[in-house]
Amino acid sequence: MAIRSEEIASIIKQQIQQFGTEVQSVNVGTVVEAGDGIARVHGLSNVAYSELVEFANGVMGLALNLEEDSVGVVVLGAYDAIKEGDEVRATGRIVEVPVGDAMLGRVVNALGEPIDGKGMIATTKARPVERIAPDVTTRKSVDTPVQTGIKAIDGMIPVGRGQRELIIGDRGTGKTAIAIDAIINQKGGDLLCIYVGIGQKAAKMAQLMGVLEKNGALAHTVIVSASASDSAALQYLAPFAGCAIAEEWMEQGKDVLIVYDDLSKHAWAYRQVSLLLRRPPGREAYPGDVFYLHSRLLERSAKVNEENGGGSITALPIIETQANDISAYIPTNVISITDGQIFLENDLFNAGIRPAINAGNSVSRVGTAAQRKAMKQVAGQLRIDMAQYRELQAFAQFGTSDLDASTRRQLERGQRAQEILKQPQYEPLSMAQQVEIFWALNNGFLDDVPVEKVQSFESAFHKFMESNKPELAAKIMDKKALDPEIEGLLKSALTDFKNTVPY
Amino acid sequence: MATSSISVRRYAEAVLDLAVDDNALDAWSRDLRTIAGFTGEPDVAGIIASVRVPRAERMRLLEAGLSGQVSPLALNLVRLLNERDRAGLAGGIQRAFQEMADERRGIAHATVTTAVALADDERAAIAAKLSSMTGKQVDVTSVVDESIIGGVIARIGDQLIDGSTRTRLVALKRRLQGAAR
Repeated sequence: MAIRSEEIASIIKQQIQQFGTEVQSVNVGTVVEAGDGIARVHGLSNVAYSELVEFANGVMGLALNLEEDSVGVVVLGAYDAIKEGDEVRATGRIVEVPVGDAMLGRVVNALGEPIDGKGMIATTKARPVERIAPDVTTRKSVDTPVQTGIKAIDGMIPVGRGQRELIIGDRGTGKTAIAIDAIINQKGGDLLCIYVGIGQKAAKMAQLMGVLEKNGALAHTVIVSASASDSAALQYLAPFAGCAIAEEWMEQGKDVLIVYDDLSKHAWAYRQVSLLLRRPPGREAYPGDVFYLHSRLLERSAKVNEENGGGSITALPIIETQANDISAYIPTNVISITDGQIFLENDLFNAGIRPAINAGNSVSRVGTAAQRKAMKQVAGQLRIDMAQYRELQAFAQFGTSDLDASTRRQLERGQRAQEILKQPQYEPLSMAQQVEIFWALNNGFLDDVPVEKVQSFESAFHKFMESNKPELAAKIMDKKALDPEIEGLLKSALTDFKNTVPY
Repeated sequence: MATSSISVRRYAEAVLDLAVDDNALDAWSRDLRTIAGFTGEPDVAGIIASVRVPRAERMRLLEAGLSGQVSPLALNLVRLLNERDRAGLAGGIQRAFQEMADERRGIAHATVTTAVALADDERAAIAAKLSSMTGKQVDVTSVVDESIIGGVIARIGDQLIDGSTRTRLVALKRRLQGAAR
């Protein structure tokens, strides 16, 4: 932007001339105690809960504890310059974040300020970060799928728009990878994405931004980052800020996917703030309202009905467990709030099954209603095959030679299904591709392919279909269901493919 | 800390009730100031705060210092406080009482900060203006602080009316910075 110096001067002149001379009466208080991101303020008698207050050095704070003769304030920003005796002014505002399409492709902090060095964000609107969730009369049940592009999820644990699907597992099991793949798969689609990083390493956030940019997924994504070095208050606010940005789009009738990575660290940040505010600790030293903290956040994900625009917010909260313990406090809380969970396991990950989804413990409570017909037609059989395979898996360890033919067939089908469900990172598949390969599996086209070659068979098959039969994928996407005609075409395509490349 | 400030308020409320019943707000206010002054003296404060000095000894000291100076009822308050090892709260009770009594009588205290010393008529004008704004009789204490450059800052309790040149310049600076970003 090239602005001539006279223009700048005239803008400044205008600003000086128009500068308000009105004097307003404000509520003030005095800092009596400060430290660890918390300030105790005497006075501020008319301050409201959750109101923004301003410290003498311009740093903002959030009034969270209103007591008889003091107010507990969490400091949003650098708190080392705040000292006893400083004046604190109430602002009459609550915490707001800028919202709108200008946010797309940007990285912001929990207050919506840009932190990616790409300059100011030209937004015209802001929304309060806290809001009551949409009530029952404005909601509607989930009816459209979110295509994550991950076969194991779209096939067996489908997620619908407006659903809250928890991703849970130990560190390093690929939780974030699933969320990133889901974001990348929305490229060119109608789903806007928000990634909220809470308590993450700043390096990881930078890396994530690079990955999204490289895969062309940053243009439809907003990253809200409260990294590990940001104050606990900002980490506590970040998911609510992300949700406010999403709500603006939902009200415009758009569909939004929001990832909260991760809510365990969010709970830790909230625990820190609460303990410093001297609220009584409960189980695992979390405050009593830590359940409400997450339930009110996740309740804001919704699918609203047509009268209210028909938009949706789909949430993918992430929880990190310690040693696979899903019965700890925060995991059980969030499992009970969400509409299902994707459970990732270390053992599977190490066995080379990636994504390391434990299909037995993972569920989607509402997503099947939103699954496309074509996917439903092939996924039912897949789910049965996998369930039977899990039961028989133990036998397979002792060799399959002593088993009867039908059991052996089930085992072999299961092994191939397991191979099909493996998928490399950053390579999401379209619904048509997923339907094609599942159909091939269900109809025995892979039974004569050696297990170790199933993956290369699959990728060659997708390439073959893309170059030789692109109209078939278009047909599946168009009809969204399998009819005898498409099935006939699939069969001949598979036969052709197996003739060209022998496996 | 919090508990002592609450108990200070409870004692002050009780004293205020007594004072209103007897219609003796001014007398009580004077007595409390005497008591607070006496118990606040460093020598005395040290002794009455110490639980190692027997209660009766402390009582003797307080009675010797205060009897005749204050009304019998006020002396009873001192005895009661000492009985509960809380004579050290007297200063706080006096302040809380004063606050409540002022509230009741419709008196507000304002601190008015200006860059140059105020003339008497100016001060009266400010007091009149503040009185009409708050609906209370405002008692003005003026402070001179050159760093505010010009204008007036008035503080009444928790309310701050900031019409100083310094604050406006800071606000203007922030706005210009915001526009330039």
